Amino acid sequence: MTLEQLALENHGYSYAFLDEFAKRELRRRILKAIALPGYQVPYASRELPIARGWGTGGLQVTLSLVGPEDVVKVIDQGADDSVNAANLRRFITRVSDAASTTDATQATIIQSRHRIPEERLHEGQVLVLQVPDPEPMRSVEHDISRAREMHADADYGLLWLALYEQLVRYRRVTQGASYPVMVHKRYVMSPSPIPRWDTPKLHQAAHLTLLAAGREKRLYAVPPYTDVYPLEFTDVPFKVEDQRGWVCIRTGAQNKFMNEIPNEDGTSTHEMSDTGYIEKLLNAQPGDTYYDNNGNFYIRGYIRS
Amino acid sequence: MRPTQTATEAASRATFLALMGALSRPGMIHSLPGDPQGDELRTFVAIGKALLDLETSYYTPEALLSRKLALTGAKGRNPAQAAYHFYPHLYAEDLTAIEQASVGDYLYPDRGATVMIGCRFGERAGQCMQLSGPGVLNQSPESRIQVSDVPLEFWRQRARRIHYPMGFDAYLIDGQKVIGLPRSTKVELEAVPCM
Repeated sequence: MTLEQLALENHGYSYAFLDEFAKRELRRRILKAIALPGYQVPYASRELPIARGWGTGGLQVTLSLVGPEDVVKVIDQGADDSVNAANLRRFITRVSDAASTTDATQATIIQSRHRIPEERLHEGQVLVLQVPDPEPMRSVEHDISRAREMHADADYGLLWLALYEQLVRYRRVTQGASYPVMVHKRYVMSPSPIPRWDTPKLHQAAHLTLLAAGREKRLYAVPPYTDVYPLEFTDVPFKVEDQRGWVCIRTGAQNKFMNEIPNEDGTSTHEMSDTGYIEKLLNAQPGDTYYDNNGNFYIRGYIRS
Repeated sequence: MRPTQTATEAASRATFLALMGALSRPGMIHSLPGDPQGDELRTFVAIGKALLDLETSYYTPEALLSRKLALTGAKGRNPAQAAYHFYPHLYAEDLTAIEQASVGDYLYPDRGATVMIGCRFGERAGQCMQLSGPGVLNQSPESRIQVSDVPLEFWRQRARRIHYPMGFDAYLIDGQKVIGLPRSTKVELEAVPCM
């Protein structure tokens, strides 16, 4: 046996791009994040051949998880075919030999920018959300050291005040995406800029959710079957986007999250944001969804409005 | 040419996925990769290889295991400073070391230690426990576990030292099987056996 036979071929980079040292560090942080639902764990965000701010946090988490037997789905605002999603998917599959799919229920790892699929994810699946800003208190406390102290003290008074001020000024809560949520009755967390429509899907979910910000170098998690509640006042319940009456132009479906497409005459048409679900509705039998065809969330009583 | 996964990389990843699955679903038994007929330290060495390197530290009262873990590059430290504790057998005298294990602080609770404990699952003489918290589905079979070869005092010590979010996370290891007990899991001891 010669050294040449023992040594691996030089490929220029490691399996799944990140070296084992980087993966071990990420994996240690992921385990701590799971043990502390909603708590932001600092990590050493590595350089990737993709600029920070383009999903490098999610990408690093995916690369630390992925193996050749995995099936990966990557979406950007619900779409499998957007430039960001297509490039990340091509990169992940190229460096890991994993298969890819557009079917949310068949994927073992779903990396997503700003959406959670319409179909209910199941146990064993991992949802990786790309996060531009992990700090839910950024708008009320710009100093991140002070914000960390406030998380330590569970001092979320300023966030409640911000919601109250929205009510006073506009008679409604105007916070849309990144709606702050309380995880396991301890940490307030930004669920990443998913629409309010998707926020309830994190509550008591069967799947594991990992959220990572590459630029901000923090990652956090929501384990399966964990309480996740949006901040809401007793007399002003949390509401999802009101899209009643909107009909998907491609499938005729209603009560799913839609994109609004402006027409030249000033009117709008609508199309479901989740392109994988559109594909299934058109070609196959889709699985159970978080919201039924009448817009009722699958956990009765969770959305009080 | 695409790089392929080496056997070492594959083993590290499989070990990590088992630990991740175990911590995500406390009480549910997950299988670690490796030879079930190997020596009794094999699982602890495999976990060491998956998680330890020169950025981390460990403590174990077992001299042979300590030598094997040192090969990862991690620093052997005293119980108060070590990020990872390994106890292939947990004896009553080891509880002094666990008493010193880091629980982090309110600013950085993630600095709490991780403790690996060798034990036996499901034996009639074991202590039955009811689990609740994140990852535990109410009334599911895995919400009750029966564990033997862990001193009863450990469970009282765990309850006393965990002030969520501060605390330590534990993995119970029986051969190739692992159960995760993050600090977020509430453990209630039951007076009668599970089965």
